[in-house]
Amino acid sequence: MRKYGLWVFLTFLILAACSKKELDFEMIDDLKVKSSATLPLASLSLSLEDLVADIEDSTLVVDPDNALRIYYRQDSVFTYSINDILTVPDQEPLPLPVDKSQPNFDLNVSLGTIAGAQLYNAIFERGHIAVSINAGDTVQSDVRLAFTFRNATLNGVQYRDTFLLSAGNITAVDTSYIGGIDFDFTNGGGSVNALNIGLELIDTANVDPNNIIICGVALENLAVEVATGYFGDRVQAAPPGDFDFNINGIDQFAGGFYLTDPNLKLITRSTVGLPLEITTEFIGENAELNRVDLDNDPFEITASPAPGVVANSVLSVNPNNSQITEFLANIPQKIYYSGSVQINPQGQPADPNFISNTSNVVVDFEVDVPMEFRLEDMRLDEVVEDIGADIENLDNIDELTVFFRSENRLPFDLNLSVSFIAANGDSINGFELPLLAAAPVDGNGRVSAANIQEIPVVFDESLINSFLLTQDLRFVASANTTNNGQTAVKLYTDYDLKIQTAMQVKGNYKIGEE
Amino acid sequence: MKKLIFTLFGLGLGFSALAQSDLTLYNFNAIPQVHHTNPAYPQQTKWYIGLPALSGFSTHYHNSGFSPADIFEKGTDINQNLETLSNNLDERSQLNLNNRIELLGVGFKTGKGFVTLGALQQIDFKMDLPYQLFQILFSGRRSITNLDLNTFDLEVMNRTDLYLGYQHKFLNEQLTLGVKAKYVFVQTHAYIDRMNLSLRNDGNYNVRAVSDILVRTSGPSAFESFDDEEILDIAMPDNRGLIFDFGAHYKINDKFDVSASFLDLGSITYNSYNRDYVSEGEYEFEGIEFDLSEDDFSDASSAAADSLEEAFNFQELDGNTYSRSLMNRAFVSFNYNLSPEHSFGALFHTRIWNGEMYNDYSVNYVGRVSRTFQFTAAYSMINGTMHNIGAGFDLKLGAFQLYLMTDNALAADYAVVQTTNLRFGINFTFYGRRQKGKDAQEAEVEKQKETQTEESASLMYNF
Repeated sequence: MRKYGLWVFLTFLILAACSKKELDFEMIDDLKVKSSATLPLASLSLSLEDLVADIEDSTLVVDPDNALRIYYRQDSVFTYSINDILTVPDQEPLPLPVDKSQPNFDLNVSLGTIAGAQLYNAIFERGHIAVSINAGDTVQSDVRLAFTFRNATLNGVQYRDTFLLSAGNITAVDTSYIGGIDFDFTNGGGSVNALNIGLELIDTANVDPNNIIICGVALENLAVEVATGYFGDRVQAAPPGDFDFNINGIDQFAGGFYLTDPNLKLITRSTVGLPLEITTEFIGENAELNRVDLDNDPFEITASPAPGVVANSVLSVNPNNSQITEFLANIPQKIYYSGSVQINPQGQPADPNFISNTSNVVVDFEVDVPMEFRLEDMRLDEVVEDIGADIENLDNIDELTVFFRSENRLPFDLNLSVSFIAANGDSINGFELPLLAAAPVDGNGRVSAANIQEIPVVFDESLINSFLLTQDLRFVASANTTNNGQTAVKLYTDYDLKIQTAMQVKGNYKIGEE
Repeated sequence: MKKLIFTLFGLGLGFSALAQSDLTLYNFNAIPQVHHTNPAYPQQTKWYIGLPALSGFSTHYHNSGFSPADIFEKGTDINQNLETLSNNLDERSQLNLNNRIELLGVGFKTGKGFVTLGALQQIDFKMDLPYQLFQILFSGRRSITNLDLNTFDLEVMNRTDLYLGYQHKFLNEQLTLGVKAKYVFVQTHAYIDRMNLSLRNDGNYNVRAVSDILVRTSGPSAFESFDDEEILDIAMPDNRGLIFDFGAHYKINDKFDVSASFLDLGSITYNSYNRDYVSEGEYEFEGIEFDLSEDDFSDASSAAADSLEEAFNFQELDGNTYSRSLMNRAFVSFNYNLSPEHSFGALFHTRIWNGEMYNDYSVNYVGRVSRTFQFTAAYSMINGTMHNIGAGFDLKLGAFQLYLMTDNALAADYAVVQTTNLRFGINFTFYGRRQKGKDAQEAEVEKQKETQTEESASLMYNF
């Protein structure tokens, strides 16, 4: 039996020594991890209520019924003051001669004005009388001359001032401040712009008989405090300017935004007692620097009925008197303005004009429209540059599917076109993504239900390979309201949107490449 | 957590390690260490002394899931191999490693009894192969977001057994009963008490993650520093228990005998250096949330990470005492003795771990050529892995006994190995006075058969 046991033992040894399989550990270089995963990426939510609440300095405001409206007001776009309406220029000197035999000289002349202004009364807050005295011979003793505005008072008495030609002189120059002087340019009757001037040689005893003294008198640096009359038909330009006009939420889009009832208001406040016509030019510039002129008609500002009373005028700029539809559809981000004012555009009115140095005309710009609109191919065009650094592991992906699920209570579609831009600027591939489907609306344009949809975007090998060559990504978003932009919709704060994205990736990661 | 990983894998892989199968050892009572498989198995020696740290060293490797050639066979496609392999794995696929060193072993005969005592140091590492991860990574058909690790188990243990065993013969030495008491100190232990971890897609836009995890660890290595601890506290911590092995051997007649044993009955109470790693939570992820009405999204991703961490509530809890049973084992054997020199046996072995039975089957041959040289051979099916050819021998050179055995000699072809172990050692043994020459013994056996005495079988072991 011993030999049987030995045979068995030897058999084991033989078995142990045979049928070797060779191993190749270098295979590890070919090892690939073939795994897949479906991962939620992001959950995006938008509530118009939160949006409006969170935006500071918003142009969007909420009505009591939760409707949204655009409200924007820019005060004092144009401001006109007394200097833009009524100014009295410096007057030319008037020669007034006197001598020993005729020591008094009277003169009636008209005040020089601009644009045919006819003043009835005026008080000047400041001004000067400039006097130059020229004698025929040197005077041996002091000679005094009295100057009088016979139709003007200062501090309640007729204006009279005395100037001196000192002994031993042949000429003298002097000025006198006349702030507060009150002129009656009617000269007590039906005249306008009348100046009644008198000159008296007081010290006749000190003047030789043949020595004629001529006084040159001029009014200078006149500033009106109050005035009445007819101020002419002057045209005065206002300095141009600009202001920002951002409608939050759509400020990056361009075009295609059509308000159902577009209008804006130009609101004026006038304390000037004369009618005015303002001609304005508003040019809106959008994110793509495209400009559209509002092209509104000139409008008239009614006169203040009495000093200190504000006359309000409102001009509604609407599709009938402007290009406001196109102006707002351009989604302006900045508005450039310029304008001019013409006084008494209809000629001399029945009532006299009046003005004071506190009077002005202010023009405000106001947009106040409900968010009732159509979107028709409103576009956003954005390029994300240099994405290459984040995609270096994409070649380990066999297939990638990105899912988009939207629950949309907003009344517009959003279609996204994504283009892959190569380093040379060529578009080499891309995909279309109808991201949002517009929610249905009722007859009043209010959303009646959510629109739910799920869109998968499959990145197959071709798309992935193109993506690997991509340097920039171009996104073009196009928005249309319900029924392809043909239905006007209203925005309310109870609208919301939820977008969920998920990624299903099938990887094929070659470990040996690390 | 880093310490936990060190604990689990440092122990398991560093010492390379399981629960031994011991299939070839069980019926090979030429070496005294057979009492580790059955405390009642009759000893051939009158007494023995195992040389300290040299009397028994064994190491065991078992991977029921795959062999190296299943992945790396030359001329094949590694990815195809892994795909096939992944689809063949299931919840019973296991990796087991074990290392055992007999620090000291002594045995001696006393009348009809035999006493054994000694000390063992052993390290066990057992884990389920995470087949779900294999399938997710390599099968190409499963998604990582449909992952369920509820069946994953792992246990690591480094322990010292101080044992005292005794066997006694009854019924004219036909029946031998044995018991062994073991006082066990566990230096390091870690196991997964609960591993309910799942990721589930509920549609494309939702991943639901559920965790109910409790990993219990014990032992100073779980802590950041134990430099100041007493060495005895580390070697013999208050993580201990009294464990019993029971066995029986019954000689039916000259030709047949049966035996059975139940090992490692009892539990360890872990009182010191305990740390639990706990996660209990549920998290539904629907993507990083962005409120488009906000201007600043910079905190969105960090907020999601914070929510995830908060939801899973990862905690390290120190000081919780726990008890856990050792992995129970059982052997049942039936032997046919063709002659005193040659016997054949059939053996069943089972391990019970976390309520699951893992079974091994074996047939073996034992050749008792002489006191100087005995050998054994076996064919085993170990936890579903086939074709394990076991072999072993002992060589007695005077008082010194050398032995070497393995449950799978085919492991020499390491490419296809799924199970292998190696056991060797040196004992100082005494068999007692050789009674008679072999021929004389055979003649006496024949004579006894003729007289139908009950003592004939005892000659089977008297070399």
